[in-house]
Amino acid sequence: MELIPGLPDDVARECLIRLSHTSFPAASTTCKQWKEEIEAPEFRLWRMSHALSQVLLVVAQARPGPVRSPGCLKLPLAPSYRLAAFEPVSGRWWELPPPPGCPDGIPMFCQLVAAGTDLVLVGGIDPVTWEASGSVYVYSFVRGEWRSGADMPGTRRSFFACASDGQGLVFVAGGHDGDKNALRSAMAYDVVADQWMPMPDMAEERDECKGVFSKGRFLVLGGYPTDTQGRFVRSAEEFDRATWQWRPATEDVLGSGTSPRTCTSSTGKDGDEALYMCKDGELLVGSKCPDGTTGWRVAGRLPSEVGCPAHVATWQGKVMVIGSARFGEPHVGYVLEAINPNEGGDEGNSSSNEDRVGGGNGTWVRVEFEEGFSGHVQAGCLFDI
Amino acid sequence: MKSYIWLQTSDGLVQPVEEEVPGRSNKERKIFDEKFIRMDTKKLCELTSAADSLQLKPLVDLTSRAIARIIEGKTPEEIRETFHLPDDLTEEEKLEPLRNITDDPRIRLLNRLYARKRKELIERKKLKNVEIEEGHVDERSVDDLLSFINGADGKEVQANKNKKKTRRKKDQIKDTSPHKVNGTHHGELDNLSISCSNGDANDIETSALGEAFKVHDSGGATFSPKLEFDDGDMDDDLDPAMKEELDREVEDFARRLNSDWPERIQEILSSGPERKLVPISIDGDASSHRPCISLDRR
Repeated sequence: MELIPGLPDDVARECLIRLSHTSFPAASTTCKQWKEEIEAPEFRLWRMSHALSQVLLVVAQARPGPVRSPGCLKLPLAPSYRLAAFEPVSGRWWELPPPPGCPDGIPMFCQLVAAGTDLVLVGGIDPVTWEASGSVYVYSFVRGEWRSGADMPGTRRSFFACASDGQGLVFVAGGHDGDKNALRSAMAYDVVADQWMPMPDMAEERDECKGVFSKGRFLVLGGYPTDTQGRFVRSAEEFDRATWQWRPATEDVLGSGTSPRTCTSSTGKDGDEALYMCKDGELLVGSKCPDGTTGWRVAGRLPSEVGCPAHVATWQGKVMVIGSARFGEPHVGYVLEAINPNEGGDEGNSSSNEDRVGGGNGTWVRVEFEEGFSGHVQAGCLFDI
Repeated sequence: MKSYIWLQTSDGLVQPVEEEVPGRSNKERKIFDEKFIRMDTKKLCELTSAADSLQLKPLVDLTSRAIARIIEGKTPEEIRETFHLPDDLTEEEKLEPLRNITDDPRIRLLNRLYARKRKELIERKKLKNVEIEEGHVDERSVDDLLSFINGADGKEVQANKNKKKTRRKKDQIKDTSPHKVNGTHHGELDNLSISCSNGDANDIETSALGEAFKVHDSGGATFSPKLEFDDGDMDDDLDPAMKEELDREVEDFARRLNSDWPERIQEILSSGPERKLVPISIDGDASSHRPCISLDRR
């Protein structure tokens, strides 16, 4: 039975890989062959190799609330968060359906991870009971539906590091428990099997650490131990999938006292991968120097409108920073284009039209967010589907 | 072949510059392409196939993109029609929720019903190992059911009016032969529930469940009351309040059986959040009949 009667299968495949991801749910419920074709991991790889995959940024965003009239003495209500998706190419925003059992909004401070074509929402704080939640929800962009995953085992933790290796595993490490004790324990979630697996403990307790997956390992940055609350450490640890062991990170990652919250890693070919982070009004990029060591350098100054960065995402050589000028203001986005992580950069110029000339200068381009989608962004993850 | 002309720039330099070759601009080409691929799907597929055989990559790209655009925005049913695809997904696989981008409460409700249905199908699959006994059709009128509740034992029950207007063929729910009504043992109850589930399972699998209507119309109406009645039979001395409630529920049930489909959907939509699943009566409709019949003593 052919994929499309009348067409050779590889030609039919050329048609299917050109579908927009919004048609995946309908197309995958047409017939058995189409379902197998679209749900297979090779389908996504085909799309990516033909440069037909679409980039999608999913964020946990505050719902637009009622406008407070000036002079009104009403106390601001805690905003409820929902999931919104943004397509950088078309500039389109839309709201994702809520996970099952979250009528009052998604858990606050939850972690969002992109695992292939699945969005995994882990933990957070229940918006009604204010208790740490250990729930896991998985949204499949292929089927357009949610399912509940197995809860995180062990003590309920919040503000932990969370990242996916892009091959079906989601790693969780650190955070703090109900008594604000920093944790060093870690575990891994297999998305397909819906199972949690234990991992060895980290060398140090890390509360409010940041997890990224870079160069084949799960990197946990910074954080602070129970005894020194709020004093972020400089160290980092990395976890090797192959050996299932932790070891100190190979790069010197952080300056002292910074929250690594905005750190993100780029997906690139081996050797091309880099880390990005906002610090003190600048965008830093950490990558291999010509002499083989990895170091951080300034990629550009953040435009003042994103002086308080909330989220950083990177794809295909671009870096997007979402934030606001001051805390509490509507969020906007700026994209730094044409960034070359392997070259030293002078300060980037905002809204300048200079071309890249050797020094890796990039230009910041403002991204207007649609109305109703400029709420506070608390977490996010990037999809290439 | 590029042709060059000499131009003088504002600061006095004279430079050769490529001359625009007479022909079409990119925009014109695009417009031509758009017009070119405007043809019926069959021809488009043939063109794609030809382009592939002739190894004309740009044409393959253009035509396959056009086919992708045809697929986008269509429902699975429409896609199957357009491309003559077989309808071979099992009911379970087909019960994929509708994409609820606008958070429409009706879609949320339908998805919830789909989820429930899927759960039931899974449960039924588990019970499929149990013997299916052939039985005769349960045809009882509502009146008979009523009298059943009110204590009439061992009465032969008659045809149940099933006036639902659906596109689907009518269900024939097989009953088990142990039609015993009094002194029901739990074992029997289990048999009844199992066989009615099997009956339902067969029916559901034979009918296309893709459409919303069919989720509601699994035709299990006859069984939910039967199971519950067995319970009712066991507890003979109902207190008057309970009896009243039962009577009310049965009336409700009778009304629903005889009402039209659009009205039912309205009711279901309006009573959505308050409904609870009835544990034993494995029946998509049970939830909609819950206010009528289920004697939830558990």
